[in-house]
Amino acid sequence: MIIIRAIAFLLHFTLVPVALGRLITYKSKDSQHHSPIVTYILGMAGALGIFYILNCGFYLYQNVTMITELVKGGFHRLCITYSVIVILLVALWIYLEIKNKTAVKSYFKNWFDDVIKSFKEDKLHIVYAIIFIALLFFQMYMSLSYEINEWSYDDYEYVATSLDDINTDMITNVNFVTGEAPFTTSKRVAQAWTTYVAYLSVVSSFEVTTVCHTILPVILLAVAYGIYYYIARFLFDKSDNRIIFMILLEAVFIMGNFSHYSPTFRLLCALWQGKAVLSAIFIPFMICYMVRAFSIELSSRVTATIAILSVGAASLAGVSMGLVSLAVVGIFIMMAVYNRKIYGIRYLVAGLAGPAVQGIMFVLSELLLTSQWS
Amino acid sequence: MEWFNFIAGITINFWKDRYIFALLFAAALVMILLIEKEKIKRYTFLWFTGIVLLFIYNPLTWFIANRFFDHSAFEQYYMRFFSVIPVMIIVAYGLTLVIAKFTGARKLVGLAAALGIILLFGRLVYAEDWFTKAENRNKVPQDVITICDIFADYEGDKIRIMAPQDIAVYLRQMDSRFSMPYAREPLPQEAFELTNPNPDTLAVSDYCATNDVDYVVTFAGDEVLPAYLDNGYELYGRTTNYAILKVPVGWVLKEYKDNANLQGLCYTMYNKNDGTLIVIDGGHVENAKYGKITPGLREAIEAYGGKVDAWIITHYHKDHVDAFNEIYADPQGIDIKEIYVSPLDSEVFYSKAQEWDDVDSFDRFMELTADADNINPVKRDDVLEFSDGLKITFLNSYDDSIKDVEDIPNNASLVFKMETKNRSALFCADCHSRVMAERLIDDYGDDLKADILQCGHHGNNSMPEDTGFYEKVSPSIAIFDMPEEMLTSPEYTAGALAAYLQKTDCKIVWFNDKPNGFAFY
Repeated sequence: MIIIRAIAFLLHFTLVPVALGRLITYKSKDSQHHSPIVTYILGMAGALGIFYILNCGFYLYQNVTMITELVKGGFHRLCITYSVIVILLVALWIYLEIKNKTAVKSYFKNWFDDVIKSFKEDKLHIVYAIIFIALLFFQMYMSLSYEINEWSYDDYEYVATSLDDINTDMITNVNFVTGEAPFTTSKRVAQAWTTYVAYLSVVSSFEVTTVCHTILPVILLAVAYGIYYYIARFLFDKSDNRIIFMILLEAVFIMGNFSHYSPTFRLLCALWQGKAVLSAIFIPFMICYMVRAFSIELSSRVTATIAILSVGAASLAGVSMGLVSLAVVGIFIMMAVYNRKIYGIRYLVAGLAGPAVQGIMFVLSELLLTSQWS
Repeated sequence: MEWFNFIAGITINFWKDRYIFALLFAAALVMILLIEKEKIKRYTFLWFTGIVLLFIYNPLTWFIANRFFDHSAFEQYYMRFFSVIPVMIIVAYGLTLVIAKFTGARKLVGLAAALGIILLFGRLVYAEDWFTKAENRNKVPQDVITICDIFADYEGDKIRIMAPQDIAVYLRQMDSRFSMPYAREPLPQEAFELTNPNPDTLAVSDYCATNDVDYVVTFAGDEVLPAYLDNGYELYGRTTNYAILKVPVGWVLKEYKDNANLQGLCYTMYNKNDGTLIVIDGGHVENAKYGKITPGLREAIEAYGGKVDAWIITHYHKDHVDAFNEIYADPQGIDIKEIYVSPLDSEVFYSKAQEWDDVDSFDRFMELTADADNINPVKRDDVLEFSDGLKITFLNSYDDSIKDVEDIPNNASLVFKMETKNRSALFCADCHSRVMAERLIDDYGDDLKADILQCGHHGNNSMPEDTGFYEKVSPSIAIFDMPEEMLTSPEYTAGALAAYLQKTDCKIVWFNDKPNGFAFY
């Protein structure tokens, strides 16, 4: 049973993002969407986005109907609903892939052929690759076996909130210090990452602490380097330069602990926190993905993917509204200068979809807070 | 200037220990500008960074953010804007652009040189003293895991516990049943007593009484643990570094704020062992109503089981008796066994009453209790005894010996000493004048000594300081039954008395949102 649950957990970082990503990019003509990494991240954002919307719905229902007594059951209903939706989407993907047998095979084969070809061209590639893989495994080992041996209030608040979701069967409705309910803070309600972590804990049957502190940092580290490789492909044409970039990136991360606000701290020490996932994974990806989207002809499908990406990113942390907006507006201004004209307003609007959803949740939770239990 | 200082501050905070890394970042931006030929790539990482920096280092952003962000964590929130800048990607990108100029083995040498620069400029995260090998798969201190194991079979929904901060922040990560009164700054002073080699265990007991805490986690060292064990705490379990102790169970005295937001007197004394409940006065009528924010007396009595074994009415002013009148008239299930009063009859009260004396409250009490058979007039030196050694000795009540004293409605208040083995409290109610202070000193002398003093007449125009009354009582805690704004207002004399008592190392207590608790055992 433990193995089955562990596999179920892993599927949420393997099969589910791939399936959802393929559904999002299905039949897309955009060259970006042929990248496995883009597919994966869009799938991950899609899954998080679905969870976020459901989370908002169940939370609002829970708190609107909670007049004099606690309304329980929201968390397990959210988990079941999300699981059913994800299973249906994966089934749909499998059906589509079966119909179009060659798609997946050719999809990965092209990428793999490129890598082999580059190794054959220059033997030093192997040296670079070994250095890169060794450093990556080193970081993953450190993420798995080591810990930050100083207390963090954020850590406490997030983990306790996730655990309370499970044990009270309510969504973000418990005071993380006293354990009393009802208790609502808008910045917790406006994100879904803590609830998603609780969901992962239920799926896997691992303790929330184990999911957060031990498992997620390793998995998300691999995802983060996948994103960085996608950026490397954007920046450098030659594959050896890409690997050199990756090695140097690993080195600056390992050696870059200039403060607790450094990207190093986020990536190598606290990657399971929603805001770390946002800043280490989603924002770098959004910058690169959106710039590339802005630099070519506008497309409705890309508009939709940007919106999905934005909603997925907004689900991660209460600061998403500010950070995603800053990134999106910054890219829009920059690309307006690049194109010498106002260009791609629809991408701007799509990019602000996540912050808009989060903003609505902030406002609604504030309204609920003022009217509830009065 | 304020903006400049703020911006300078966050920049220093962001780069903190490694300004040289900032130099590397700046150099990488220059390399991108000089070497990168493709406009789109330059824009993506150079000009995008420029736009974000412009946003961050902009007085307008600072001004607007100031309006929206929580001020207690403003700097922290503002600094999060930095996380939109892909600092590490830019550094790696800049260095790779230089290395990409080489070919073959030279490229490898270039990579080695770049790694050398990073080593030289950087700071290894894994070498930090706070980055250590995990003790368990949960990555929380092993002591926390052991504490959770100790409570594994605990049969209750809530484990009310207080712990040193470095334990407190992990407990609820492992078990939702833990309920704590604090976890982050500002920590109460009592939290430090848990690790203090010379702890004030009574202060911790009072904190536990105030916050309904049943267990405390303390250092298990040779100095800390014995101090707690010697003061009635019971060892519940141990970890390598900490001890889990059961808070001594006995009587808990609670002082409630007045829901009329005025001065008033409302106390409960509850025995956790057998459920005996004593109520003292009750305050204004608002205390008898169901409070939306602060639970009133009615809710407190209901929480204690709804049965009042003894209700002591010190005197008949509305800030003392109106809540009682309301509950007595409409008990809603509250059962009052015995009522103890000062035997001030109507004739005397009316003959002495001034315009400020609350005749209506007195009349209502008399009317309500006219046929009651549980009214017990109290005489001086009467003693009430309760379970677990609680003794109440009355030192003042109305009798002929004080009939000519000024302000009879107040000075006829029941004054009594409440004591258990470990502690005593002297209640003066509204008894306040010089003559009463001297009379108490003459009649009771050293017997007035008490650990806690409920200041007469709420501390306003109370027992004069030059009577030697406070030296006789010599309290370590003085309670002023009033809101803070009254205590600190120059319009009232309570502040001066509080200042006088503070000079004798006496702790001053006034109304708190949560009832102030005091442990007696």
